[in-house]
Amino acid sequence: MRASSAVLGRLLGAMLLLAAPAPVAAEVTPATVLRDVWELLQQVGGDSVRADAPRPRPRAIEGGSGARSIDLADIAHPVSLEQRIRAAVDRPDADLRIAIPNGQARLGDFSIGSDQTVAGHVLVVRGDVTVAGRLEGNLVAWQGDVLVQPGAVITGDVLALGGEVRTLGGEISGTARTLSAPLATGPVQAPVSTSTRILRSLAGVTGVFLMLFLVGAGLVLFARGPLETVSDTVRHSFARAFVVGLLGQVLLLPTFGMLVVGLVLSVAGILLLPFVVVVFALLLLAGVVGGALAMAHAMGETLTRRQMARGAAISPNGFRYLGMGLGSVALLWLAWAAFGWVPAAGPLMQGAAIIVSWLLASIGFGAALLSRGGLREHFAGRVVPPEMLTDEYLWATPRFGVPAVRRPDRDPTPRSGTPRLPDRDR
Amino acid sequence: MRGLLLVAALAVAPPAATAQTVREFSITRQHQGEPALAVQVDFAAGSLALAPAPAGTLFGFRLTYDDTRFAPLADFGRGGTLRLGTTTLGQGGVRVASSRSELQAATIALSTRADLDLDLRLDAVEATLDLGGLRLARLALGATASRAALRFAEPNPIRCTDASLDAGAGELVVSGLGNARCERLAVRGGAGRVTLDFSGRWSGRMAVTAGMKMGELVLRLPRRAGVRLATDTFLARFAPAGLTSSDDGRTWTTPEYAGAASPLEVRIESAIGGVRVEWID
Repeated sequence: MRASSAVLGRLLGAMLLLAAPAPVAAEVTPATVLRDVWELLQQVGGDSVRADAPRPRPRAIEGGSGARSIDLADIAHPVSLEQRIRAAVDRPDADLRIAIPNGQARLGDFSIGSDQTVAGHVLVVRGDVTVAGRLEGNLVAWQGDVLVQPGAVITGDVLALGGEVRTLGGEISGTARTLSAPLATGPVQAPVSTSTRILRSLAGVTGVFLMLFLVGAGLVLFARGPLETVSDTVRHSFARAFVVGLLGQVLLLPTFGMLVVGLVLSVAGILLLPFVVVVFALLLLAGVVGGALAMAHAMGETLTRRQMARGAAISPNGFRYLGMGLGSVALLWLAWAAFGWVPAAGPLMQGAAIIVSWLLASIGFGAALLSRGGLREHFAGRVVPPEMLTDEYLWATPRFGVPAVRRPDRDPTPRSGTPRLPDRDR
Repeated sequence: MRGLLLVAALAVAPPAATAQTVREFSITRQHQGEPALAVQVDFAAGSLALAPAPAGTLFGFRLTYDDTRFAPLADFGRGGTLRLGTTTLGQGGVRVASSRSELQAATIALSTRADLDLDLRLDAVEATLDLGGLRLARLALGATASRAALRFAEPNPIRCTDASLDAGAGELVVSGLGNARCERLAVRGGAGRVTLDFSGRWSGRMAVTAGMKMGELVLRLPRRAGVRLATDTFLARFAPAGLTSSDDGRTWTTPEYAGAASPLEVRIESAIGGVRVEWID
C-alpha cells in the first residue's frame, strides 16, 4: 500500500511537472521532455524497489565491544555523516553494532508516541520514523522517511538520508535536512570500444593534417614567395631558427603585456586595444601555422632532393614538398592513433608526437620571425637572384652554374687598337 | 597467438563507462521569531530560483547537484546567519558549457517576516530572483558570468538601505525597482547588458549609481516620474529622449523632477558602451 501510494504520488508529481509552465529561460525541446520523463520513470522504478524491499524487524541496535561510534551531536554536514553511517551499516542486520554517544540506534521502523519523551539523539537504520511525542535531541533516518505529526516536538535537528522529512504540524526547533540517494544517472559517456577509439583517432589525425595540407596548398598557390623564403630560412639557418623560435615563445606574453599596458597608458591607445588584440592573435596564428607549414615544406624539399639524387623520376613542386613534410609528421600521430590505447606505450607515443610537433613548430615559428614572415631573405641562404630560384630551374640546371657571357665579336681587335672587354667587365 | 588474442580482446572490449550521479539535498527551518537573517548564497553553476517562503518557514533550500564536483553548503548559525549554495570539490570549477552544470539546480525560499541581508555570489548561473514581498534590508549581488533576472513584483515592506548589483560579464535584468524601496543602488556592469526597470510603487528617494565598462545600460523609466540623470561618460553614446539638459549635457531631468516627492537620481559612469533610456507608460 505504501509503495503503491508512493508511486502514485510520484506519477502525479510527474504530471504536475509536465503540465506546469516551464521557466522562461529554460529551453524545452521534445528531447529534453523525453529525457525527463525517462529519468522520472527510472526514479519511480528505483524507489519502488526500495519501498517493496522487506523491512527489518524493529529492534534496538546494540553497542558494546566492536561497535562503531557515530556522534550525532552535529549533523549539519550530511555528506560526511552519510559516509560514516554507511561504513557502519554496510553489513548484515544481525551483525550491526553501533554506539551513539548520548543516544540510541534503532533498526527498522520507529515511532515516538504522543505521550512519550525520548531524551538523546536517535539514529534509525532502514526504517521510517514517526514522531508524535517529544524528542530531545537530533534525529537521523538512514533509508527511511521522517514524519512529524501535529503536536510533536523535536528539539534538535532532523536529517533523512535517502528519505524525506514531512512535517504535518509538529515543531522542529532545529533544521530539517534531506539528502537523497543518487537520484539519476546523468548523461553517461557512451562506452567506446578500443577499435572505435582507434578509428576516431585516425579520423581526427587525418582530418587535422588534411586541413593543414589545404591551408598549405593555399599558401603555395597564393603566397609561394614568402613560404619558400621561410622554408629556405629553416634549411639554411636551422639552429638560429630554433633559438629564435624558443625565444619568441618565451617573450610572447611579456610582449603582449607591454603592448597592452602601453596602449592603456596612452589615452588614445585604449581605442586601438581591441583591434591590437585581434591583430596580435591573428599574427601569432599566422606565424605559428605558417611557420609549421614552411617547416613541413622544408622537410619535404629535403626528402624530395634525396629521392631525386637516387634517381627517382619525380617532379619537384611545392605541393609535393608540403605533402611529404606533413605526411612525415603525420606518421608519428597516426602511430599514436593506432597504438595509443596500449598501456604505457600509448602515452609515450603521444608524448613523442607532441614533442616532435612542438620542436618543428618552434623551428618554423623562429624561421617566420627571422624572415619577417617571408619578406626578408637575409637568413634564407640565397646567393643568386630570387628569380632564378624556381624549383624547375634548380633541378634543371646546376644551382651555382656559370652565367653565360655574350659571344665575343668576330674581330676582337678594335680599329683603335685597344682590346675590347666583354660587357660584363666594363 | 596468445598475444594476438589478447590484443584483439583489448581492442574489442569496451572500457568501463564513466557515470555521474545527481543528488538532491534540502534543508528547511521553521520561523521561530527570528527578527533578521543574514543570507549568503554561493552558487557556482546551474540554475537558481529565489522566492518568498510560505508562512511559518524561515528558509528553505532544495538543491539538485552533481556530487562528483560539488557538495551542498547549508550552514545556519544561531546568530541569524545562513550560508547556502555549493562548495566545489577537487575537480570542480566553472565549466559553462558542461552538460553537468545544466543538471544542477537550486531553489531558495526566504521568510517574509524576517529582515533580510541578502548576499548572492553567482558564477555561471541562470538565476531568477523574485524578491517581491521580502523584507529586504540590504542586497548585494555579485555575478561573474551569469544571466540574472531580479524581480520586485511586490513592494518591500521595509526600507532597504543599500543595494549593490555587479553584473560581471553576464546579463542582468532588474524589474520593478520602484518596489525595492532602496535608498542607494549601485550597479556595476562589465561586458554584458544591464537593464534597470524602475517601474513599481515609488515611496521614497532613490539614488542610483550605474558604472558601466563596455556593456550596454538600458534604463526603463516611468514616464511621469521625477528623474534626474547625471552622466559622466567616456566614449559612450547617450541620447536621452524625453529629458532636458540644464547644462552642457551632463545633467538631464524630466519636467516632473522639480516637484517630485520621491525623486529618482541616477548617476551614470560609462566608459565604452551605450546608455539607452526607454519610457514606461
